[in-house]
Amino acid sequence: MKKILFVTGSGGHSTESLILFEQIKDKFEFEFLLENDDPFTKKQIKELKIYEAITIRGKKENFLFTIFRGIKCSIESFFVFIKSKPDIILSAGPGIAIPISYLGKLFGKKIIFIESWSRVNTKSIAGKFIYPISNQFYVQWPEMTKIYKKGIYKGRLG
Amino acid sequence: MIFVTVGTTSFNTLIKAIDETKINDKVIIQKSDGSYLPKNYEFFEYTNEIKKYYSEAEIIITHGGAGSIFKLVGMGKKVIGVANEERTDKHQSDILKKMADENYLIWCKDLTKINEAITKAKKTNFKKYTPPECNIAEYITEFLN
Repeated sequence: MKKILFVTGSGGHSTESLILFEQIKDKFEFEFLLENDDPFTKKQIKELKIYEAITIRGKKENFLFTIFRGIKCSIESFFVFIKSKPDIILSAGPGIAIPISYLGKLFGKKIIFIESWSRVNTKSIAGKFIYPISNQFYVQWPEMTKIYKKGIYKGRLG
Repeated sequence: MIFVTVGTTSFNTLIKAIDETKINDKVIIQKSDGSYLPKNYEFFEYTNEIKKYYSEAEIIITHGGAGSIFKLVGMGKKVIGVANEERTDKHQSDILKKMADENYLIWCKDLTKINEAITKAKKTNFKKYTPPECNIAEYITEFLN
């Protein structure tokens, strides 16, 4: 059975991710990578293997902190990648998905990204970064196929 | 009753604006872990009985988190959405604009006009939201097998 590392985080991301997870959980082996400040999501997927990495999103922090968090998250993601050995990196954002997706790409894994359902006319930061390296890139509003030319619209998760 | 709810992300600007507005209905506030403590209305941080508050509310005022919005307008509630710009980017306006344009809710852009939004919500017949058919799971499965 192919192994998916499902990367998700706080805000709306985990809600939509968990809806999708419920629909495909029997078809693949799953492990999760979550942000380290997200007890709400963790509580909902407690029976599965969960890794954590530092969240990148800065809450009103200066740019240097965001860079620092990005580097720390990349290092942590590297160890997660080595331990998990996934075949596929699947995510719906947030920023924590960026380093692990690039690592996955580097090692020839499949990258699937789902742009958040909150995006009707704008790109998320994770979406912007992961779009060029994704094997499949889903959007959840028809309008978004104009913004992402290879974006796939197949409905909305909720 | 008007229920103000922010889910798991604090939103002091909204809670403070509500608290400082004289509203003629009963108001109950779910404020998450935000530091601002309302003085004029009943409030709590979280509840396990959120559904009870949803069903009792005539109008729900909430942030622009898409998950909450879809859920509430899917239940057929009258919703006033306020973008939480305390967050790092402003994407909540994106979804609120779309949902307001389609007559699912009222997007309140100016917190000094919350009473106008309430009056308007009372008079408006909103559309009930039904999500479009979703085949993302099938497409991913097919692609990977």
